[in-house]
Amino acid sequence: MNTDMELQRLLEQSFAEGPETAPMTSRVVVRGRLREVRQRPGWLVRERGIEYPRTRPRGPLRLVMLAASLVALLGISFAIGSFGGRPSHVAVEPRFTAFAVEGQPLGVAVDGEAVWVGLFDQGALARLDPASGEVSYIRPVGRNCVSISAGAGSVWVPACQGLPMYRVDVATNSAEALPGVPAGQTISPVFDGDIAWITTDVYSGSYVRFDTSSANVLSSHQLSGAGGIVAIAFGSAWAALTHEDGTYELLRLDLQTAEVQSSIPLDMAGDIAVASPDALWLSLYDEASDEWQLARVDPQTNEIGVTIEFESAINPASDGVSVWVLQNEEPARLYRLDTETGALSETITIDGHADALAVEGDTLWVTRGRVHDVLRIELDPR
Amino acid sequence: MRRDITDRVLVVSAANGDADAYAALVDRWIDRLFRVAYRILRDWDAADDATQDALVVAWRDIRGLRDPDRFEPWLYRLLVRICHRRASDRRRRAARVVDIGKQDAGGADDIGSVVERDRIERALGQLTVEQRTVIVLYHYLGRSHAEISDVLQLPEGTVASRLHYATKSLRAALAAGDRPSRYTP
Repeated sequence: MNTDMELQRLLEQSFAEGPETAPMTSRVVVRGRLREVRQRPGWLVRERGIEYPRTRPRGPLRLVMLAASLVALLGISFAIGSFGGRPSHVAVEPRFTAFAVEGQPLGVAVDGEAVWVGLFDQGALARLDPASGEVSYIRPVGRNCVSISAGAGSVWVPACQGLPMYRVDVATNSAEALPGVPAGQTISPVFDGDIAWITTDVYSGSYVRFDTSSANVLSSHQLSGAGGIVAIAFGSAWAALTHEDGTYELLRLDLQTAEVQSSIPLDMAGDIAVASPDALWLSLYDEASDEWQLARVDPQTNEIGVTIEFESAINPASDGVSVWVLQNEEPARLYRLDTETGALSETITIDGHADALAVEGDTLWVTRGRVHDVLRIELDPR
Repeated sequence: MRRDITDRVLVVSAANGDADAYAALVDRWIDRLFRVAYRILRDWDAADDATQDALVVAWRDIRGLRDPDRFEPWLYRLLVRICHRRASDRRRRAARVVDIGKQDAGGADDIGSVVERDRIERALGQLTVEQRTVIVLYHYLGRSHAEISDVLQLPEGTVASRLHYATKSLRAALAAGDRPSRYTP
């Protein structure tokens, strides 16, 4: 009975049998109700998670807000003066530069030479030259290339919607499909030198180890639950799993044998993992309660020490040294993480909603799918 | 494509207060919204109410839609949220039951086919409304994970996870007949 095709057929049959048109009276009722409803001005609409403009209020309300801000500023200045000095830390204003791209940029990766952007619904990658600001496009590279990654001299586009995985040579910009990699619902590969660990189906937890030099699958593996390989760090591969009984765990795997070295129970589902010099950081979420956390995993003890709670979805990124966290809620916020204490040491607010983050030293790259651009944020523009 | 372009023009006009333009959008979208709402809620009256509410709320708030090209996911997002709110309203649980036999208009199907349909209907009925939503968006509307993520305002990983468990639950419910799923997270 329950093969994918049979299930699909039953669903199609069920969906086909439902009603096709709304009741005849509905149009009339809706039109009647519309006459009684006044449109709300855009700036007033603040319903969470829905795309609304950040237009500043005009007229008297704006004057009131400006006056309130001035009073608050004077108060803060007075307080600082009363305590006899300036704040010990003076934050440097980051410099923002926006690069427009064609399509919805929902993924970003940096390879040192260029910034690569996965364009939603375009089946394309954008290659952005940070020096000149020039944007070129490589297509086709599958469809819905969202969570792209850079490694082993290429940018990798996961397999989605039955299409093969693609890799784009960062030196030549040539795209190559990889039909040898099983096509399922993949996530971005992670790299151990020339070996890519590619999750080929997050539903079943299957993955392969792929030799990027010879383009051959070295071995195929199966995790014990749904999920995939989320990081290579501290001499191990790390896999986040969700089990059918509602439990979660983070596995540490041997890079040579792929055997499980350690299992770390999680309270919530693991999502994205990044490494700092002394720890692995894993974002966790609970979809029922809409809770988000960032957990610090100590690679020495294989235990979770610090967890940081966030109010909405997060997207951590690292360049191997510093860790930043993008909080997607509008307005988006970037937090620099103190990787020893877990404290959030700096905050940058971004206008609008942001989707993806890449870190490269003192430069952050943020994609904003809704306004079709990529933001470069230079932390120390001097 | 022509339809999309026209939709865009209508959305821009509606956002500028043009009630006639919005009425045209209502005509274009009401059936589509109702089909989705019905398949999520499995209740004719509740789906009708949810569709109307979504269209009224969309008119009220359309000035807040920054990008007119994103009208469709925005509208579906409104609809899904209203569907979820309605589903949590237990007073509406006394819904009409889908009459499988009545919808067998062709009359050519054998009893096995009717039984099979009854099983999938029951299995769908055992899913949570959130699970049924991702099933409808994915299998009925044919949306990708990224697009569902956009509609539901959830990370893609959450969408994949929810779809995974919804499918598991569906399979379990089909396998177990009338017994409830063990896989409901």
